[in-house]
Amino acid sequence: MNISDTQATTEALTRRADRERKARKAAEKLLVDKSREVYQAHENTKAARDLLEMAIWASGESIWDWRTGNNTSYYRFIDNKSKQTSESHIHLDKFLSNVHADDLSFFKAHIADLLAKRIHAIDCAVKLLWKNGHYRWQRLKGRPIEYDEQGKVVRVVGTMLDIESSVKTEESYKLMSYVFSQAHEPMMILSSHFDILEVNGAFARRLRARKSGFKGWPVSALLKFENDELRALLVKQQDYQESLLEYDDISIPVEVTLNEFSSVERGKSYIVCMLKDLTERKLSQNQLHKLAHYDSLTELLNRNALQNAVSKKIQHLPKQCFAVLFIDLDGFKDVNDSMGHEAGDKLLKSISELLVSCTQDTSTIARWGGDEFVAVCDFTHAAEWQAQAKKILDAFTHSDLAIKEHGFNVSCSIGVSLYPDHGNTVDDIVRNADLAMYEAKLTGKNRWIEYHRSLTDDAIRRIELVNELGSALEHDQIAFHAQGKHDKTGRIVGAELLARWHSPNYGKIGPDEFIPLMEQHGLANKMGFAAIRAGAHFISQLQHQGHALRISVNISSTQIIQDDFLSEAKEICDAHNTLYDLLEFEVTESVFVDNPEHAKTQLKAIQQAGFKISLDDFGTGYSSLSYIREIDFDTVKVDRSFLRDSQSDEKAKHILSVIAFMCEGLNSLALIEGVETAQDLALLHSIGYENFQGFYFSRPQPLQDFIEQMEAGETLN
Amino acid sequence: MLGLVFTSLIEMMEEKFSYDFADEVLEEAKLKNDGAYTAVGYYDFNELVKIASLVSTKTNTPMPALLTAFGEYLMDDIADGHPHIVKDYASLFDMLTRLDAEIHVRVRQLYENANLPHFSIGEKTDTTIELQYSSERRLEHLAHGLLNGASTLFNEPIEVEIIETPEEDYDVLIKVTKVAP
Repeated sequence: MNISDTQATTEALTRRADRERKARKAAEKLLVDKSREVYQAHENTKAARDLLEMAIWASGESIWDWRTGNNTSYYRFIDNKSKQTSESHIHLDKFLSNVHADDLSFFKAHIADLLAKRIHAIDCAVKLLWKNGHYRWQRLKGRPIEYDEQGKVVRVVGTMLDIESSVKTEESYKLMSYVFSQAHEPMMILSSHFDILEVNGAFARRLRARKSGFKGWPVSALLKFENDELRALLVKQQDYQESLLEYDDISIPVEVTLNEFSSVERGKSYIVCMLKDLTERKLSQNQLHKLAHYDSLTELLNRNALQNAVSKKIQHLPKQCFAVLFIDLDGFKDVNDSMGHEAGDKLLKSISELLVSCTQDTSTIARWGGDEFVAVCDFTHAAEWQAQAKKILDAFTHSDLAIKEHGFNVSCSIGVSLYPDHGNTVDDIVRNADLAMYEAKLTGKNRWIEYHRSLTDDAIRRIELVNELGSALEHDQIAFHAQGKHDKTGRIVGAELLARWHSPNYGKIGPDEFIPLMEQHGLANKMGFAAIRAGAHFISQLQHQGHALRISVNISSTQIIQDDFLSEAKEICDAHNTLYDLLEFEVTESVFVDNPEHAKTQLKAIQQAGFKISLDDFGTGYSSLSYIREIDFDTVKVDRSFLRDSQSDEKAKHILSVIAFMCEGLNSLALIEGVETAQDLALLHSIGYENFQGFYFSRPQPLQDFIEQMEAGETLN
Repeated sequence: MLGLVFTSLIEMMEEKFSYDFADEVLEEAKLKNDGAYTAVGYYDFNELVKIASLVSTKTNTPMPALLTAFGEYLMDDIADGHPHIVKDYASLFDMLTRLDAEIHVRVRQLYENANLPHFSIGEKTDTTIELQYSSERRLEHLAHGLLNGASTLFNEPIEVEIIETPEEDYDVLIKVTKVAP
């Protein structure tokens, strides 16, 4: 090879080496550029993925990727706080085992539908077991993204979202909405501007309208309110407010409560307006008012209401004269006692109707209490109220009260007092009318009497007497006189103690006056025990002087049947060392009126203790033979009225004779009272009486006198 | 045009003729980069035309025959660098069927600027397949060579016929027919 050839070869090699180096550098540059490109692409991808993950994180969702071939799911979860992603793989069976039993069959069917392409996406909510052992609601959404050659779904991708709180919220909304729709009380939902958004069924029913009919109405169209009042309710300055719910011709009294309610999800606030129907309450208030002002039996005004009405009358019309008629029924107690309270009530009701029918419309009628009524009548001339009082009396006489069929004659006594002549206050006028009525009773009943000044004096006297009587009993200042009981030879075989009283202010007061006063003013018991003490003392006094004489004392019907009567009587006798069988209690038939069985038990116990019991005034009351059959009275004291009539009346004589015969058969001693003449005695002898009491033999006299008389008599004999 | 085509053509010149011949051609062609090509680069197609024309003149070989021979050489080169091309396909026809859908897609993943010819599948039987070729570069003869090379790789002898189709909207029809070995 020559030099030029060598040179050419060298040049060619150099060129090739240059080419190779340039190509290498170009390749290196390409590689670097490509690497940079790839890196950039990678960075871009990463950024895009981060963005996607953040978006998923922000939505609270996690991603899953289910391969149906091996049934595993890839699960990518982004922690809510750290924003760190975590990944896991879970087998479908394992996943299904975490689904709540309630949702399992539904969920499986949902998946089966997806695989069978009956649905094109998963979209369902299931309760899933959480790490803390609790189930939480999850919403699963996803779509198939890959299919095999046969078109079978091989891959499904989707998201899962924890919806526990929204389910809870939804449940609580559902509950609230249920309560709202089912509540019995009317309710409304209002906007913050107090416009009606919704009303419940109860509301619509109450107004007899459709629920949808009120949408958009301002609440003020239905509820009578000032806007300020609503605001005050809303900010709880007031808990509730009464108002009227008005619509069409319906008007319902209601109590309104407002509660603000904010919906977090909807970012709005609403007002729940609850209404409480006060119709019932108002009704019962009316009833209470009625109870407070009206008598429930007769539906007339009661005492309070009448007093108020008369007070107002005097206040507002001081010039108007009016009469107060105090009306008390005569014989009402007999009806009540013998026919029972029910018949009594019925009678009172009939009489109230009678009174209403025979008085002017302008009159006010009230039931004062018990069998007392008050009528208030305006008048200009006295003749007007006089006519009214007469009209009432006539109405009783001519009425066909059912009670008359039973032989009861119901009349009334009326006391009248006038405004302003007899008083300026309700209390004065009514009290004076009452006094006049009392006078009408005393002077024969079935009449009216106008109040006069002396009635008040009488009343004052009575009040003073009652006070003195109380004091006298307290200080043992009631004296007792004895009246002898005699056998057919005239010998004293016993005595009855009779009370005598000398008032410090009014002098000697007869038992006819003070005994009823005591009974009316609750002093009868004290009187009874005073008599027993006197009797026991007298018996022991007689014993000391060698006389064993049976002494009787009068005991009221109500006292003798009291539970502690027997023990107290024993105690008194024991204190005086008195034999029980020397003491006799005189009672009248009225002891049997209220509770015959109880009376029987009590009286038998008294007799078993040794005391004697006599039936006083036999023949004046009902004289029911059943009474003397029930109890073996030691003595039956026949009332003097039979004896008075027997002198001229053969029938009365026959009755007397039958009574004597009956007592003999019943083993009771028959004693006749009021024997005053030798003629009386002869008659009584002829029909078989052997025991007597009366002026013919002896008058009641001081105990010492009695003893002296008795001893003188014995000496005589 | 992909650098691989340039480097493969230069290698063929060096191998089939000589280093000096290759150097002479590259010198005469007065190329922009003096022939310093790299397989992963991308170069002007006209430069390939210059090189191929010089080779054709100097070796007195008609261009279609030269391109066909080069196609066969190029296929070998490709198979060396991308051995999975043969492994991934069951047969030559399998590869041809998915040429556009898979291979060219992969090429674009690597060389996103690649200006690739378009092949549509025409009639296809068990023994023949018609490829409808479209390319502004009209390298159907290169394709012919590539098919020959692939036939050798798959060891499936074929006959290739290139039919001008002025009536059609593609450039030529390349009919590949299996022949008995």
